[in-house]
Amino acid sequence: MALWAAMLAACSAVAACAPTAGTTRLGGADIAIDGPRLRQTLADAPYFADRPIRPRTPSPTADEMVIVARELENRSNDRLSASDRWAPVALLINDSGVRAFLNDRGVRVMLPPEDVAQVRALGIDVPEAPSMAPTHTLTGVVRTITRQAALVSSVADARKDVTLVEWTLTDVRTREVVWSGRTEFARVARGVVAD
Amino acid sequence: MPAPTPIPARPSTRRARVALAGLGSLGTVALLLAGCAPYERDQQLIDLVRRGELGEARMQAVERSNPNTGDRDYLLDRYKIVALSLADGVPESSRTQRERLYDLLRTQGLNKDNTVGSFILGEGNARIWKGEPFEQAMAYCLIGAGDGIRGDWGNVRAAANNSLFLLRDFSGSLNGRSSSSDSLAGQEAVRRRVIDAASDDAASTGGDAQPFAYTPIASDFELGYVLKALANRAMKDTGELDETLATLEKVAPRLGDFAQTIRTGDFNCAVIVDAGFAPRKVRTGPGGAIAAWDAAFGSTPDDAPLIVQAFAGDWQDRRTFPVITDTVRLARDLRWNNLEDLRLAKNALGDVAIVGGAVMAGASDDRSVQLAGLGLVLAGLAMKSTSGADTRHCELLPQRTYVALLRLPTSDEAIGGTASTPVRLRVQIANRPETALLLPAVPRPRSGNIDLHYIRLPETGQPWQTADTVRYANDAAATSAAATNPADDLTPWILGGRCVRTPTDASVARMHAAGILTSLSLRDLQDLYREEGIRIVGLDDAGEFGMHILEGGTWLFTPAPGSTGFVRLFSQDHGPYTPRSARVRAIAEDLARTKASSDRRD
Repeated sequence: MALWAAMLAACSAVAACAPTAGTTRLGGADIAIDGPRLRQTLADAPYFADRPIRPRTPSPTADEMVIVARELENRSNDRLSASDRWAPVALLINDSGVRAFLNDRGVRVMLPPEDVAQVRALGIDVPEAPSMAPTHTLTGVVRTITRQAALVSSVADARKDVTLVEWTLTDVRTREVVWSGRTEFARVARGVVAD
Repeated sequence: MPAPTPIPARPSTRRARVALAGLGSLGTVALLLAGCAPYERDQQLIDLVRRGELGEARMQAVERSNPNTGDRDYLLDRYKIVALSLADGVPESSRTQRERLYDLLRTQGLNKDNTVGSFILGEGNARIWKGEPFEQAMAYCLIGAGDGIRGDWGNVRAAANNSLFLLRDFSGSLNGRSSSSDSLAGQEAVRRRVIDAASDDAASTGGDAQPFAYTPIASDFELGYVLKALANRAMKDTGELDETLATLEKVAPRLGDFAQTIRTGDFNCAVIVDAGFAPRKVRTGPGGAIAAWDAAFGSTPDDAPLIVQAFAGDWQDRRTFPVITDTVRLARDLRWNNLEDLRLAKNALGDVAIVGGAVMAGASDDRSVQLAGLGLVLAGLAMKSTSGADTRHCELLPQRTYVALLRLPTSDEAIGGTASTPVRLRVQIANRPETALLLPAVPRPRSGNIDLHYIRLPETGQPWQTADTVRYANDAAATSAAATNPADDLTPWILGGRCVRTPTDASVARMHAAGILTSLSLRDLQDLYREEGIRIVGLDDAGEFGMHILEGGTWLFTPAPGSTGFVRLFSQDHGPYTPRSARVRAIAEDLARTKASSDRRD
């Protein structure tokens, strides 16, 4: 509800904020994941609150938590390139706060071995990691909410897209969701939509 | 002191100036006339597509495209390249162009800053082409089809969603009359009614009224809903699937059975089939100011269904499918046409009327009025030329689109042979044998997946269309019917064999296991291709590539097996390869001698 209210408010404020963009299509610079907030939600999750602080050992141990991060699923209103789908994942797992938090709890994060070459080819840094059986999967779904308005002319000439990334960390064995978080960012564009 | 008498210009000089001025005016008019001529359809491209020569067509489209992003036809050029590369089964050859096309379709206000061009050429003729709403909707689906071939259903869904924008309903201005007409005169009449209604509104409100009265209504673009529903089905989003199918059934009740097939999910393969050519956009009305669509230059619409037969071993299936979307219907309907065209037509009709009146005044006996009249005649000619409607359109757009939904044996089913037994598909428009196309090596879908293929039907009945054979071993079909012995399918075509596979560790291992070129490593083989000036897609390309070596090009690749390009390339013989480098020639000759002596022994 709050999101919808924010959308409506933002749409009516479009004229005042005089954006220069002609498209709401996501660009690399638009993707921001708000690492500190996500780190805090991880810390607040009961699963991690109960998990003792235990720095990661140099070599894998049997009871280690191993997260395999998957490419985001696109359920948005826009086509997303492979790099657009991997970039938020890379930003999340490479965020210094999130990484420190997971390291402190002995958690390893890796990408699916079959995807590593593709992700590296996209220019995204992927640290070397031993291939281990994952205990958890980190998945994300991208959704957008789109609004159009006729602000200056008689036809639709303003568009706002709010993009949400919904993160889920699932225990592979029990299918239990042990953490979920959300990232959102928005783009506004002006100009006749049909033109 | 009397004022000096001005020295009259010498008659010859004065005449020269007048002549120069006249020539200048005429030159300007000629330039304007040339610059604003009606759009010429690229008949050569149309003929190539009709014959299924899509490799040649896509290369010509690339050569004729203007790389300048500010060019007014930039988007139209990209549209053609993307359409042709998809039809040729190589959507990745135009990956960058496809992204650019999508970017620009999604960009708002493309034409907000073209004032200078508008002053010179007239507003309509200076605009960057973005296409009519129906051309934009079809472009989104084309882009989505390219994503779907790669199994990227999330992007298919997004592209389809973008094609389902709101339409403008002018029922109020039309007093209940239809917004569509089959004839040019009927389309002109519809547009004039809407323009007249807007003029009346403006007059009654002192010119402050909105230019046109319309109501935004939901789209009736069947193909957009079908693609979205297929994506929903593939992504297992049943909530949105139900909603999408309900809307499809509402806007196109004739597709009820088709919608039900998507709802039940009894298919694992979808084939988008485009056929024919869209109508031509022409100028009608005074000064050619009104745009309309002439189907006489495209393909004739009808309800002929698509017949699809599938074979795998002793298994077979036959189904028919209705036309999903007819672009002639869309083109003739004002709701699917640009509001901008109407606005420009409204202005131009006013201008033409003013100039016409002025030219009448120019017929006066008074010399000064005559001179003014001459200027106005020139101005009139110029205005007439710039007031003509912008008739640019994408002539490669299909007249109709079908979507076939098939339940094929999966790769883990024993039906119709083993997983490696490909499926053969025969596709044809009912009662039009010249459109028959036989795809000899469609891969079986994996269990739980939905595969998407895209076909552009040729329509001249070329022998290769129904040859039902694979003549060259490739990345999708390991054996060819033309091989005289198993070694032929393993020996590269450039060395005298029938193999046009991408060289890999596995293909080289198979070659060595058969005792062929055992001293040649993968690197050596790749180097041989390079010595011949042949580039290997996936290894040497920077995202865009040209024609296949079998067709005289310099690229090695395998088109999508469910495409027209695959059939044209591999279902006919292309003759032997002529080596360019001494090394390849020597190896090929050596292999030929070995084969000849082996054949003699046998």
